[in-house]
Amino acid sequence: MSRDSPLFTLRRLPLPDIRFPTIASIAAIFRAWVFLRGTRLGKRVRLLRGGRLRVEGAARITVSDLAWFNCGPIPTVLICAPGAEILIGVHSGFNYGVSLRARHSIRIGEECIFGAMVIVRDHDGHRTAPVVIGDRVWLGHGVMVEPGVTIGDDAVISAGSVVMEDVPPRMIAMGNPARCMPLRALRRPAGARGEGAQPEQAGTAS
Amino acid sequence: MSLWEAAKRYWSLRGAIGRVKLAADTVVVGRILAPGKGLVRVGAGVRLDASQAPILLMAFPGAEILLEDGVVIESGASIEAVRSVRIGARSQLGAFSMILDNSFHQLEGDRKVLPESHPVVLEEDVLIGPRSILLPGAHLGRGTRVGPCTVLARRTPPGAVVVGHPAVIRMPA
Repeated sequence: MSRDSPLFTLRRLPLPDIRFPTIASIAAIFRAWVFLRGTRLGKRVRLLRGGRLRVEGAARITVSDLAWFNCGPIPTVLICAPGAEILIGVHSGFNYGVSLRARHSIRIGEECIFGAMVIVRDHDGHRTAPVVIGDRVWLGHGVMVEPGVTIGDDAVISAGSVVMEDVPPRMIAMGNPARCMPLRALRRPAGARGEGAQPEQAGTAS
Repeated sequence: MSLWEAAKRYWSLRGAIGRVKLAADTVVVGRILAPGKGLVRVGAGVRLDASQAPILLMAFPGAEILLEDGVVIESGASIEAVRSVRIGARSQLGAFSMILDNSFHQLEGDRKVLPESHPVVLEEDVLIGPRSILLPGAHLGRGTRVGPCTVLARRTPPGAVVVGHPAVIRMPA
């Protein structure tokens, strides 16, 4: 297929939906069963691609049905201290290098997408507060979520952001520290703004 | 090359066999992963230093990653190309930096539909700081310096200095 054909851009990602079991998908489910042993594991949780996944405090971690982990060069880490809980919703997906570190609770909703190297933790050196992430949230590459943050449904967090305050539903947050704007206000398509950038002009770049 | 060095090189490149064609003088330290089925082309005198964490060169089918002569890539850097990423001669990528030419999900609507890709181009002598992220549409002019932890999706003029998230593009006096 040509790169410029419309079918190429409308191609679905080779990620979550399994309708027919293939050898690769059965292997991914088996790999998840091995690496996530001891957690409360839902049906058809998948570990796509090879890679390491480290789990501590497995008994207090819940991984719901159809969740997927995309392992890669940097290990994925799920750490749950005694008395804490991590809850991962149905069909949520994690790219490589994600680390979830809980001392109180981290709750992740349904159909979330986590980019690579996302850090979610509910404690820093000073305080411990639960983190709640809503449904269908998309966190870009390298996002860091600070303790006590609530992210609303359908929100998008831009790559490299540091989220220190709550994000309401259907907002896009970007920057360090992250600032919110409604998703509707973002008219320009991603990547189509190469022209017109002048030197000495400050602008959002994500 | 001694047998020991050849074995070490094979062990480093075992995740990239058949996908990456390296020149004889390419320096490889640590692991290089190239799981995609696209093309990765490497020029002369390239240094891939993955001593801390593996380097990911992911070219999707039909995509092309081009590393020109004298490029240095530090550990943990990852390049994901759906269409094309070009890194000009003598450029340097810092540790854990990331280059994407596609955002992989749409902001609204069906998140599983792949959006359009916008090629990323780094011209010659570009310096990318550690942990910075270049998003689709980034086009860095010759000699651009990008600071650490910068997130950029723009065209920059030659010789610019880019720092911060949101990125601020400045011309040095």
